Amino acid sequence: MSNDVIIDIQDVSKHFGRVRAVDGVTLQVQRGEVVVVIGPSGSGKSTLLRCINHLETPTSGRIVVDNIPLDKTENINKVRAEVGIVFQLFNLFPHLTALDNICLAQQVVRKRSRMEAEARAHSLLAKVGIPEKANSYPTQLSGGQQQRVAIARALAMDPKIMLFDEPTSALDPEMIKEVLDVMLDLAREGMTMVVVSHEMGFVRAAADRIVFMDAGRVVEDTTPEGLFTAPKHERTKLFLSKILH
Amino acid sequence: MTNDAVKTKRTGRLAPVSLERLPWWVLIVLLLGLLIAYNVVTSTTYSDTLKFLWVGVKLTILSTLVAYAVATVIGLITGLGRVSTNPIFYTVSTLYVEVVRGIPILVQLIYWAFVVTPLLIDGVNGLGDFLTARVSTGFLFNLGQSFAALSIQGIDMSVRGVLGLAVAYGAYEAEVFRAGIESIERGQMEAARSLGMSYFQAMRYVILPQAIRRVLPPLGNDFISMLKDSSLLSALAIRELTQLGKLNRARTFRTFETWNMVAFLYLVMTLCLSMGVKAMERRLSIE
Ligand SMILES: Nc1ncnc2c1ncn2[C@@H]1O[C@H](COP(=O)(O)OP(=O)(O)OP(=O)(O)O)[C@@H](O)[C@H]1O
Ligand SMILES: [Mg+2]
Repeated sequence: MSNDVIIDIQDVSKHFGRVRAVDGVTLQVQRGEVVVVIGPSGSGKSTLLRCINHLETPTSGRIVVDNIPLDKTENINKVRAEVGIVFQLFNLFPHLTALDNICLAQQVVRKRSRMEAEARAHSLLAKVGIPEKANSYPTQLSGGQQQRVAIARALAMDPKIMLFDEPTSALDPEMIKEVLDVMLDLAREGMTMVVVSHEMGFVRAAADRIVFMDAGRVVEDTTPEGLFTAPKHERTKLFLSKILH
Repeated sequence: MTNDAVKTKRTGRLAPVSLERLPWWVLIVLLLGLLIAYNVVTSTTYSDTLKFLWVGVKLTILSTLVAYAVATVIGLITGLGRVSTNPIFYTVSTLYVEVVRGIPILVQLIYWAFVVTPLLIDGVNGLGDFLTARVSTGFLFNLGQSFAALSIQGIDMSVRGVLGLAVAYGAYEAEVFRAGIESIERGQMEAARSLGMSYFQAMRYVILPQAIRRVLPPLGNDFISMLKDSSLLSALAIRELTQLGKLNRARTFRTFETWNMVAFLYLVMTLCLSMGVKAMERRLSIE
């Protein structure tokens, strides 16, 4: 194993009752790599992603993130502080302003002073392109703006890895680009990213690898060129023909 | 619907308030209030009754405030227990909620005053005897002596009653808090935990601030219920409004005037409070 592996997923399964949401997945992500996960609805993409920061406890298998095995509770909290996750529905805290959304975990988890946290929050809001929205509440923001605040909130913890679960699929088309641009910037800066998304523009521009999942399993794990020009499996071809029209 | 129909419907809404739509019940209550006020001013029986009952009004308000504050704390803690994954915390909380909600409040008050408190006093006395027998000087000895000397008369009946009321209502508040916490979308807890917050931190900074806003109206309504249920304290001869009503009747034999006044005083308090709760609901629904 190369020691630049930052996420090491070994034979991980997650069952919900009889549903095998994730079924024996083995996957390694290198530091700085951008991996895009695609696959039909219900194929286990979200569940796999959520296993990485232990929002779901795997039924079996082993996950090591940045050399920290995910087993003991302290380890889980350590890993969570190093792994940012961005959800499809943003999940901003509605009772807090954009600024406070970004400051809260910095102060409570990272124990930063209010001044430090605010300074970091302001610089991140500028980075995601909405410095003027610091004092707005989530309901006063558009979907695209909310998602950018959510990205800033995750980045404020200085994560080594960012997970994205369909970050643009709840957005109107005109807002998708503003969110993807922020993600592209992150990718260029060398952030390790695992992204569930069917935005082929992003895949072409940023993905180092693309993973196709079906029925809880990794069916194909290849480069974007490899996938578009020579998909190995019938199921992959069928799925690609659907999403590429 | 034709254009005409729409128009008449619109103008109907803009027209001066029709007779049926007037809040008649408010007017009737006001009228009754005026009648009572008139009686208080003109009849010495009424004014004398009001003067006699006034201490009771104050004690009713005071004991409701104290019992409610304690009940809210109990309710918040056991409400957290009801949603906890810790089996002990969950079981203890659920046991408390289910037992307390299954027993009439009146019976609970009597039970607290005449069964639980004496047992507790016996326990404290026993501890005091134990301490004085083991140590002969110093702080522990003094503590033991005061424990041993504590008697049932030392715990005022109103303290027992108010605690009983608080424990009874705590179970209802627990369910209010539980419902509020469960009404917050799962994604909120997940977002908080994924930022590295502990369960406790996520509750404290993310879930509870939202849940408490949602449960303010039901909490307000429970305050009104408790104010009314505080009349049960009269069963323990605590001199709140209802008890003073009984005493006033016994003193003056004026049944009619006494209970008119008592009922009216409760009504004034609850109507004012429920207006407050409604205003709060309106403000929360706008935000
Ligand atoms: N908490 C849960 N309880 C029960 N079943 C679940 C739960 N979460 C996911 N599942 C099931 O696991 C399977 C995989 O779900 P998952 O959300 O990971 O799929 P997905 O690939 O992300 O799909 P989508 O593209 O629709 O988001 C589905 O059959 C789903 O119904
Ligand atoms: Mg999903």
